[in-house]
Amino acid sequence: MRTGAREATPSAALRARHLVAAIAFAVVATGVGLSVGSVHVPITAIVKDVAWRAGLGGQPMSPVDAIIVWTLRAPRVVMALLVGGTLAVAGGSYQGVFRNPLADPYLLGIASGAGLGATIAIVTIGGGGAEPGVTTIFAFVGALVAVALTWLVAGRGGAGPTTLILAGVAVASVLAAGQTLLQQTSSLAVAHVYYWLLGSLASATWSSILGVLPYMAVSVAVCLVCARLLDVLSVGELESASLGLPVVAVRTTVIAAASLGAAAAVSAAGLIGFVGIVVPHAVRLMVGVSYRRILVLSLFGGAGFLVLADVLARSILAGQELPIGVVTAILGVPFFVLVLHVGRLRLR
Amino acid sequence: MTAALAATGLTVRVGGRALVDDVELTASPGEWVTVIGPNGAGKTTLVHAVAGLRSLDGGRVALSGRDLSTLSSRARASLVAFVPQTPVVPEGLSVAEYVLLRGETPRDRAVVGEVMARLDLTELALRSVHTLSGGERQRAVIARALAQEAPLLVLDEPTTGLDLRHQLDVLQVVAEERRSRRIAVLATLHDLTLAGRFADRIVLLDGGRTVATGAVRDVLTEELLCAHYGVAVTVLEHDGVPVVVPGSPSAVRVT
Repeated sequence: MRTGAREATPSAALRARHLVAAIAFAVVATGVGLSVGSVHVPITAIVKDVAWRAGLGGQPMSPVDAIIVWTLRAPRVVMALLVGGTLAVAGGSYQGVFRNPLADPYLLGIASGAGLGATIAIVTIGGGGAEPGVTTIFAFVGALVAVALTWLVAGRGGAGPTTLILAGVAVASVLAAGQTLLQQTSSLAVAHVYYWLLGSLASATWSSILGVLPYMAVSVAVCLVCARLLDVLSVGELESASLGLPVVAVRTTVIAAASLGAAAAVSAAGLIGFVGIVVPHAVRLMVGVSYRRILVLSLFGGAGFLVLADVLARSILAGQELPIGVVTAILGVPFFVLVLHVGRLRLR
Repeated sequence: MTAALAATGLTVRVGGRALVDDVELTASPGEWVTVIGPNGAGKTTLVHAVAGLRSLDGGRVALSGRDLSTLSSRARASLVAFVPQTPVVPEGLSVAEYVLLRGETPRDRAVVGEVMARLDLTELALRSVHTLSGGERQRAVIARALAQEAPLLVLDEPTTGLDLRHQLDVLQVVAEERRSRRIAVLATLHDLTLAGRFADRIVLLDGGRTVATGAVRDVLTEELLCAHYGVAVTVLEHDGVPVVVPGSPSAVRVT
């Protein structure tokens, strides 16, 4: 009888076939990211080189190709994987905690805070062009200050989701105004700020990756651990409290973790839109509403998506690189429409 | 025997106004207590307070002998389960996923499987909750609450939006669970006839205060209901159960 009862109650847990498909997508995107660019390096050559380096036979690639793939492209691809995965998980977590499908990782003022931080670095320290590392630190601090301000303005942990969103809008407006004001003081800085705001992975290095990795790892780990609690929260605060969920503690934890990851992602790569909204939505349409599926699959989906977006950003125009924020918007919207269409067909 | 619920001096204020004022409330294992009263009487506030979903401004609530204010969220949920007036049903969640929300340990899954079987939900396990009919959906909501295995089940207007057949169906499901599992039931109801049919004891609330409490026949009287609902009613009897009909006795004609 107990076995029968289990069969009658399929859970919302992650399915192995979904996980394998998502990992495969990220792996293929990584291969494309390492292979495609101004100099094409065949994926087979990369695979053989990896096997050779691992002592599993294979064959080394030429020294020039090795420099292109492992020194120039690999840090960029790894940063894209990290930023894309983190933004998608943060966006999905925000959507769960606010029970709002329009929530994105920038909802509580992170974008404006990071923008102001980066502008301060560019204008006051670099005289119009601060070191990328300095800009990253200022953007990171600015993003975290913005979330902290939103939290304080909303009345701290006890505030409801609507109050938090409204506080986020207010804080974002003030910080954006501050950024604009600061930009006016330095015409030299405008181009640098504008370039930063549109996002880029061009400055990714192994050391910059190591700088943001701990924050992103903590953020993603906490959000994934809380995924089941977000499922419970989906029935509303009253009912989830009656089910034994410590609502305020869960909300505060998830917001803090998602904000930390988003702040690290923005500080490393600028403002990259759409990943945090489009990827979790696409995953939701394909595998259902449980956050235990959405967050894990968004991690790999967002990672692969941003790698492909970056490939396009550096390949569409010969000798010129498009801001990745532009590419994610151009790529993300049709991709989302396609998934929406397929999802509707499947529902019929 | 320890009462599933023992509340004394229960008071909840908002903006200086007492929504619930010095209310006493008890429910023993296997007992069904229904709270009635006009709109704004404080029924929903009272059951929210009892279920630990809003803070008290005075008084004490004991659930199975344990002080509510000292309980963790998880411990509280093992002593009281709550069905709200308008449950939030996430689009896309299957019935099984919905009923399993509290936990997914092997024991949780076994309990949920048994509850769903008792409530005839097994065949609907894979259906999205939001595609169910009103009656089926309310069964799923009650199943989710029963899966908590709490000794006290609190229901806030559980028949809202249901037709007559489904109103009876839902309340009979609760009555059967109460009988077979000896759980205490605390419900608010607007339908006074249904309240009289299913309750062992009725509490009449008005202006946040208890104005009458006792056996069904002692509370469902024409005088009390007229005085507190502000409308003339006639109380008839059918199958030994009071039937409350709007209108003065002289205007009511039984055919």
